[in-house]
Amino acid sequence: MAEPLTESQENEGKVLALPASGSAVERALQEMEHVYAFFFVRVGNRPDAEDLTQMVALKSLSRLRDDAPSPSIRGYLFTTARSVLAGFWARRFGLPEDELGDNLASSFQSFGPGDGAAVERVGRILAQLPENYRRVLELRFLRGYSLKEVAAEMATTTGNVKVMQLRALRAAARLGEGPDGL
Amino acid sequence: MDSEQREAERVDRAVHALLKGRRPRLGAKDAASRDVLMTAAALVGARHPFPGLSPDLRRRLSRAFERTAPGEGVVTRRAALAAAVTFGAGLGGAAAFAFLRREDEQPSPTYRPQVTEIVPKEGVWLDVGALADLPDGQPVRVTAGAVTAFVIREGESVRALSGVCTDLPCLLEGGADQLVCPCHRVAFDLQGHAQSRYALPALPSVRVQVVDGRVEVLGT
Repeated sequence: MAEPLTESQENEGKVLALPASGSAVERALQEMEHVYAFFFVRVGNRPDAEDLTQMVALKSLSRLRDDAPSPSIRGYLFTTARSVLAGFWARRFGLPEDELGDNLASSFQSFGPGDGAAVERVGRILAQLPENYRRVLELRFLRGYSLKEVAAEMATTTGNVKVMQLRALRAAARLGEGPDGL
Repeated sequence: MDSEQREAERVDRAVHALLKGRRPRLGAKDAASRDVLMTAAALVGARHPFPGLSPDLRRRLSRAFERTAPGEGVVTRRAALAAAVTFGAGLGGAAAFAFLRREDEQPSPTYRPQVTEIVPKEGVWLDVGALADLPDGQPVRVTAGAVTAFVIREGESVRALSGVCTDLPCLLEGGADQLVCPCHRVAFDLQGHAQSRYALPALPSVRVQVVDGRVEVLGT
């Protein structure tokens, strides 16, 4: 069930500036860009992020009719987005939403406007990892190295890289559980 | 292969899909690895450059919002719910927005004789309200049996237009200065002329009269 919003979550709606002019449609579209960004940094792929954005759009059509979007509409969009995201993960993993409690709490962390803050957060978490874990995640995720390339770079086998990747992700996940987490 | 290796293989398959920009195929077997998988998704999600909304989705969202902008007509709750149900059935984004795509369809090419006025065979004058209750110049939708019409008061007289779209058989909805079809992106001005990308017959008129301050429409 919905948890009370943290201050950062409430501010999420107020921080983003709205354009002074532009039709209601343009403003609605801009809202959806923000909703899409919210989803993308959490699900990590465009097809899922777009599906989830469409779900929020469908649920918010009548709200977005207003000629003058206000922070309350932004808050409504993000409340809806969180609920949609919770349902998404629950369906993907075949779990009831209450079992996802901790995962959702960290997933709902506000990153602030844009994706710059998300990148910083990733950097902070990586910096706290043991060197070899940090290296495998950096090479694979941030530099886009293939398994073979990571294995060559770290002088090991692809099998070992996969296991290191798993352990590194576990360590990052644990680090991410705090208020500054992923 | 031990269980950690098996998990590492499964997780790597998901990571590979994400790095290629695809949805990872996840199921109940992955529930135990959800911390790891959600972290992987967040790592990929934090990468640069950040892919924005695709042009295709932007277009579809624009169309959906245009139909809900004030004065341009509304998506009926029924249509929106239908879309939501379609989406909920897991058919994915494309199907959910199928109802938006009707505007790209052309009307059927069969010939339709021009109907300029609706005169029911055994028409009956039906009271639809008091003249005094009608706002001047604004269309008000009324029903007179099988006839749905928009009554427009102009001073002390009234006129009426058919309330059915001349393209798809949908009941029009009244805006301030036009009548809009909720089924697709067509509008008619208050003279009944269609404003759409393709030619459509004008709305036929409906007979209306004022008797003792009461408005009557010829219906069934």
